Order: sequence, then structure tokens, then C-alpha cells
Amino acid sequence: MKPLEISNLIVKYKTLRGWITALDNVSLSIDERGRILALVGESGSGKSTLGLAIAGLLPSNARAEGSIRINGREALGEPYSSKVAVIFQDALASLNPVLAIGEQLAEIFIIHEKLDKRKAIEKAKMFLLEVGLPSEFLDKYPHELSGGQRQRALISMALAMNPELIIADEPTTALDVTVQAKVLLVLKNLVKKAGIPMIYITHDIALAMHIADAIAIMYAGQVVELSDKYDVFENPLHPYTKALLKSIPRIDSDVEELYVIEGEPPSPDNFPKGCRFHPRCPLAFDKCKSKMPEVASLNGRLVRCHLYE
Amino acid sequence: MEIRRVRYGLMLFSILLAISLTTVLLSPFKPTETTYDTLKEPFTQSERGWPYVLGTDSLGRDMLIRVSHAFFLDLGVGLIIVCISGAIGLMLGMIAGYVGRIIDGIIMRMMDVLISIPGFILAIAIAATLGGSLWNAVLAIAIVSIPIYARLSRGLTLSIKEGLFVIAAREAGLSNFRIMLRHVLPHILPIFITQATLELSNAILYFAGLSFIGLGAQEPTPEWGLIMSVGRKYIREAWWFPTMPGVFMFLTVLSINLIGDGVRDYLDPKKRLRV
Amino acid sequence: MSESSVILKTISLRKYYEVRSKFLKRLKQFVKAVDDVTIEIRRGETLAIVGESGSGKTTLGMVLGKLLKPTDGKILFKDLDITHSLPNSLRGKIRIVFQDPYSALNPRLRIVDSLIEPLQAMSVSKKDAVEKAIHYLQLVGLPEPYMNYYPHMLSGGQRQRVVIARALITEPEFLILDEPTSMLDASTQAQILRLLRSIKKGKQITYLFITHNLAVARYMANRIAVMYAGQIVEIGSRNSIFQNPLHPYTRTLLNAYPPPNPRSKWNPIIPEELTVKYYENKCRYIDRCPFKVQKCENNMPTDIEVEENHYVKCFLYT
Repeated sequence: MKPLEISNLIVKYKTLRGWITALDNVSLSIDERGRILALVGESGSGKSTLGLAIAGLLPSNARAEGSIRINGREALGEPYSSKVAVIFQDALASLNPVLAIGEQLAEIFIIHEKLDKRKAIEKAKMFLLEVGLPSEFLDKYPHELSGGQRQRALISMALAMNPELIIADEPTTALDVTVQAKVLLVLKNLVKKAGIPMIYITHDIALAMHIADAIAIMYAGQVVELSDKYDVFENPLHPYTKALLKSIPRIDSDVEELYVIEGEPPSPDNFPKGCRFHPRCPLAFDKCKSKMPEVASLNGRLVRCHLYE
Repeated sequence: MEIRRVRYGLMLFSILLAISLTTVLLSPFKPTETTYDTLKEPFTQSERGWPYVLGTDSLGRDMLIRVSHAFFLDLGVGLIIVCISGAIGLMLGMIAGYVGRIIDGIIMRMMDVLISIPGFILAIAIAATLGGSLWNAVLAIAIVSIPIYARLSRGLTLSIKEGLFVIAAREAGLSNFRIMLRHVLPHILPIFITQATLELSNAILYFAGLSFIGLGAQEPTPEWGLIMSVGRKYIREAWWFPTMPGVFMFLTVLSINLIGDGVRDYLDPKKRLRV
Repeated sequence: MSESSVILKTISLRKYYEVRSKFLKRLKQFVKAVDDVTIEIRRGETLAIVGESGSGKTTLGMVLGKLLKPTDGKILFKDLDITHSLPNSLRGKIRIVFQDPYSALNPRLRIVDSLIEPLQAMSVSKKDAVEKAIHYLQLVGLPEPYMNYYPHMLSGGQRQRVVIARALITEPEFLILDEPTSMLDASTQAQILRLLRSIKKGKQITYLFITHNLAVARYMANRIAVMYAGQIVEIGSRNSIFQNPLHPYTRTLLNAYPPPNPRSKWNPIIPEELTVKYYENKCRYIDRCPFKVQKCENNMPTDIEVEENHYVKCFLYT
């Protein structure tokens, strides 16, 4: 039984301009516990929508079709439950400003594990230590913490729920680089230790390379490539993936000229006909302009491109 | 919800406007023409073709034509007051908010002085000092209303001031004056106007109030407050005399408030998120 | 290096903000956003200022761009003292490109109107200004019809191009770029960076490139200055910074970036994040530094030239 299996997921939003499709026939899975899958994409790719859909947190003007199975159980359309823990980007908004961190954490144990208050606080202390926050943080309020510390507190709360799946939606994007590194490593270590599968949503492919085991590249509401991370880096299949890897400035080497993908990522109300990447693709040919490519499977790697059909 | 309010307000206002306009254009009576038909009941027949729809006053003047003229007078005066005090308040607040520091301190302290005395009382004092007349009342109320607009304008300016495009305008080398004109003003104007419309009913009420105590419009000018003031002592024999202008004023002010409230709520950015 | 090749120089530049202490008015605390910064920027180079939040890099940019008044120190532009005011002859010679393309343009003005504003402020006629606007719009890769569009009709990348055109239109000799690509997608970032590099090739212009992203700095800069707590703790050529990072903070910063290659090791050791303290008589990095010694507690480090044109403020190198 796979921890996560998504089949043919379609998510549409109703807006003033009619229905727009944010996710178009997305299929992916996490096959084993303890695996981390990164969703990498730019704006309009639908990566955040996918995270919300899995967690059951889509807004009221959204409609979803298809299937999302978590440990075999159909979760599409189900409201948010504690079985899927979500870590958002804005930690300050996610935490109750009038309760101390220790209290918020203990609350989880009191409700879910029916512990008494004393034991719950003890357990909270342990969980905070795991993320590198010593016992004095039990009594601190969210606004007294720095950005990275808040994010780590959120991580400990997510783990405290003992979820079947964790979804992290750009949790470190707003943080400084050094803080980001620390939070990321804490997250990765704890998630691996607990063996909980995680979906990590980010726009930063370099980050994805170190936190995840597998990477799904998303573009314009679809998954265009899904592979093991080493394969994505060493042998990218989709032209978009290749272009993306060549267009990022490198910290580890001098780059003569960055590769530039002309144009901009399309927005959901304006997706091109045929393959959605074709207007910007250096390898596009006639078929690409009119026919949408199906997802092809190559040795367990998924890619949505006419070059591989 | 908000649209319904605006709709009712507009409907009510249109009815009142229609009544007043028709009356002013078609009525055979003149607002200052005295006759011997004093204190006649509403709908008493007259010799002119039309009945005295709302009755007559102590000088035999038709109530309907007087109340209708008063509609335009009070509305007009209200608009003038709002325009004068609004314009002055807008500029003072914008300068105080944008330039800040000492100028801000001076302007706002002046506003504080004005606000510290209850508006109507201060208006009475100013009108009395200048001598009771229509235009002195307008002046008095305008002066007293400035602080509200100044505060509003200053608040709006402060919030716009830190916007990146304003900073970019400074970076581009524009003078403070040009920045206020091109960048701040267009952004604060819509909200400002909406709030100002809500003040319109206040202006009308103040004016009617001053006229009621004799410091505003003077006889024989038809003005709601004035008519009510004169009609007070006739309330037992001719209830329509003080009541009719009151009812008209109440309904007019109500309709303006409904429209203003509705428009303001509709434009409220917080509500927009619901979409 | 002759004096005339230095386009902008600062001497002990400071920008302090007063913070009211909790105990009434007793202790005056200062946020020393820019503290005793002395640098020389060479004509035609791209100097990157790298730092995280609280480092003071943006404040430095705002002060050099004349949007903020310095608390102390001097700024010299081509040997003219511009500390307190910019003489008329230099109007438009120092410009800033801002970070957020979504709020840097007045949403109610058409592109052409936003573009000509800096020229109008310099009393250029509207006709001449519009002509220049067309020229610079095309220079940044946008066709003439865009002149009549409103900002909301443009994408983020296109808006940023307009912002760049607006900065270039007064023909500046010194351009301060404050995180010009941090709010853009990765693919758009590449476009803008390429544009900035190509503009530089065609003109005599010096860039001060402020960024938190060392990889971008590596791509764009000739020299890199690392800022921490208001000070420049290390400055050197791009190669020397990356091949031989000296300051413990620089090293931590470098290690904190995940290299795109998943097979590269990435195990940065990051000290606990603590509030930045503006110590006067000790090294400001002391709370996080794994190499601190007694000397660091009692003295403020000053610049040491460890290799040619590579300076660091750290007692490890005495």
C-alpha cells in the first residue's frame, strides 16, 4: 500500500472569469514510507494547489476530480484531518499568537494522545529539543522567536501529530540562507528518522536536490518530469528541466553565460494549446503545437514530452 | 447586501428628488408668496388648480413648494460645505502626512484645537460672531468640518507614502509637490470622496440646525430647519407645519446615508477578498 | 590603481537608527544599520554587496542612492562631496533599481508616463523625454506598443525591465540594484541578469549589486563585499572570495547554499541564529563564531589585507 498515490487529479477554480484549471491530469506517487518527494515549479505551475489538494485544504471555489489515496484510503474531497500535516511558509500566521509554544505543542498531545497536562508538557519539551529549541522555549510566544525558530516550532508540531504524510509548502522561502539551511536539515533529519513520507514544495531546484529523494518538475498545471533526483540532475529528460538546470546561477562554479528560456511561465487562464511548454521550447516541432503529450514511462521515470513517445 | 442598501437609498432619493423637481417646475405656488389661506390642512383645495398637498404655513404659503425648494437649498448648501471643507482638509492632511515633521505637528495641532470643541457648539459660536446669515453659517460649518477631512487625508497619505512607487518617484528626483499631485492624490481621492459623501448628511443637519436657531438661513428663505423653527409653536393646531420639513429632511438624510454606507462597504478592500 | 578610476568612495559612512529603550528614555539604543563603512568602487566594475537580513546592505544602497541621509561620514562621487546633497550637475547620474516590480510602478500611470518622470524632473521637454523612453524601452527588450500599457498588463519580468529602463533613462554612471531579481521566477531571473550584463557591455556604467544570493553574486560581480551587522567583514575579487573565503561568516554563508548537484556533499554547520548585536568593542560575530579567542571579546577587528586586494575584519588573520 503506497503512502501516497495520486491519479488523474484535476483541480479547477471558479473565478470571475469562469473556470480555470490549476491542475490538469496530475498523477504521481510516493512508493515507500520515509521517502521525500519534491515538487519543483515556477509560478503558475500548480505546485501549491497540489499540496492543498492533498491536504484537503482547497478553498471553497475549487473543484477537484480524480483520486488521491493516502495509505490506500481515498482522501479526495475529504476535509482536512490530522493525518496529513501541513507546514506553511508563513509561520507567524500558522501559530496562535496568544499561546506559548510549549502550550500549543502540548495541546496536540492532550487532544490526540489523551495525555494529561504534565506528561504533555514533558513530551513537548522533548519534541522542541529535537528541533534544536531548548527548554526555555516552552514558555516563549511566537512573536518572541526568530523566523527560523518559528519554523522549527512548526516542524515539531507537524511531527507531534504523528501524521501519515507531511506537506511542506515553501517553508523556508522567506528565511535567510543560513537559517534556511538549518531548518531544512532539521526537517530532513527528523522526517527521515520518523519515517514519515513528505512532499516538499519549492521553486528552488538546488534545494530540492538535497532534501528530496525524487523530484517532480511541474509546469503549467502538469507534472512534466518525475524521476529520482540523481537522474534529474545528470540526465534530465524534459526540455524544460534541462533549460531550468542551465539557467540557474551556480554557487559551486563559474558560469560563462546563463541559459535563458525566452518568455515567461504562462498563467492558468492562458495556457498554450498542445504542449504547454512549446512556445518556449528550443526543441519544439509541429506536433507539439497542437497535441498535448501523454505521460510516458521510461525505466520508472515519467516524462510528458513528444520526444519520448 | 451592500448593493441592496445602495438600491434602497437610490430609490428613496429618486422619489424625493422627483417630488421636489416636479413640484418646483409645475406647482402654481411660489415659495415666498403669502396668501390668506393660512394654516390650511393638507389637501385643502386652493384657487390655483392644485390642492395644498402638504398644507400651508402661518403666512398662507404652500408647504410642498417650500419644502421642495428647501430640498435643493439644503442639498446644495451641503454639497458646497463638503466641497470647501473637503478640499481644504484634503490638502492640509496630505501636506501634513507627506511632508511630516514640523508642518505635520503644526497642522494637526490646529486640527486638534478645532476638534476639541464640540462641532455644533463651535459652529454656533462662529456663526453668531459673524452674524447669522446663510453664508456665514456655511463658512462656520465648513471651518468646523475641516479636521475630519484633514485626519482622513493624512491617514491615507501616510499609508500611501511608504509605497514603493512613491519612493521610486522620490528616487527619480520628483519634487514633493509633484509627488503629492501625481502619486499620492490619485490614490487617496477615491476613498476620500467616499468618506466625504458620508459627511454630506452631517453638513445638511448642521445647516438645518443653525437655521433652526436663527443663525443660518433667514426668512423668507425656505429651509427645513428654519420652517421647523417657525412652525414649532403651531404644532397643536397645524401639525403639518413643523412636521413636513422634518420628515423630508429625515428621509433625505436617510437616503444619502444608505447610499454612502453601501458604497463605502462595497469598496472596502477587506470585502474584496471574498471573491 | 589611480584615484581617477574610483567613481564612488565612502569614508566611515554611518547610518544609525535610534531605538527607544523600554525603560523610558534611559538608554539610547541604536540600530547601526551601516557602521563605519569605507569602500572605493571602481569605475566600470560590478561590486556585489552580499548579506542576510539585518546586515545593512539595503540601507547602504539607500544611503548611496541619496534616499536616506547618512548619520556620519562622507560620500564622494568622482571626488565631489555628495554627502549632504547632490549637485545639479550630477542629477540622474546615480540611480536605483528596486526589488519589487509589482509595487515600484504607479498602477495608475501608463508605462510611458512612468518612464519619462525622471527626465521631467530634470526639466527635459516632453517630446525629448518620450523619444528617449522609446529608445530605452527597446533597449530592455520591450516593443514600442508597451508604452501605452498599464503595469497590471505586464508580467513581473516585463515590469522589472520597465523599472530598469526608467533607471537608465537619465544615463546614470552609477546604478544601484537592490535585489533586482529576488521576486522573479528562476527563468525570468536569468533573463534579467543577462539583460543587466549586456547593458553593462554597451555602456560606461558601474553597478552596485545588492543581493542575498551568493550564486547570483558569483555570476554578476567582479568584486564581492560581505556585510554583517552593518559592517563589511570581507571584501575581495570574486575569485578570491570563492576560492579563499576568509571570514567565518563568509564560509558559513557559502556552505549554506545547496549546490545543485545532488552528489555534492551538503552538510553545513550553521550556528544558532541570534539577534544581531551591535557591539562597539568586540567583534560582532562573536556570538556565532566557532573560532573566537580572547582577543575577539575585547577588541573590534579592523581591515587586514590577507592577499592582494582581499580584506577581512577578523583576528584569525593577524
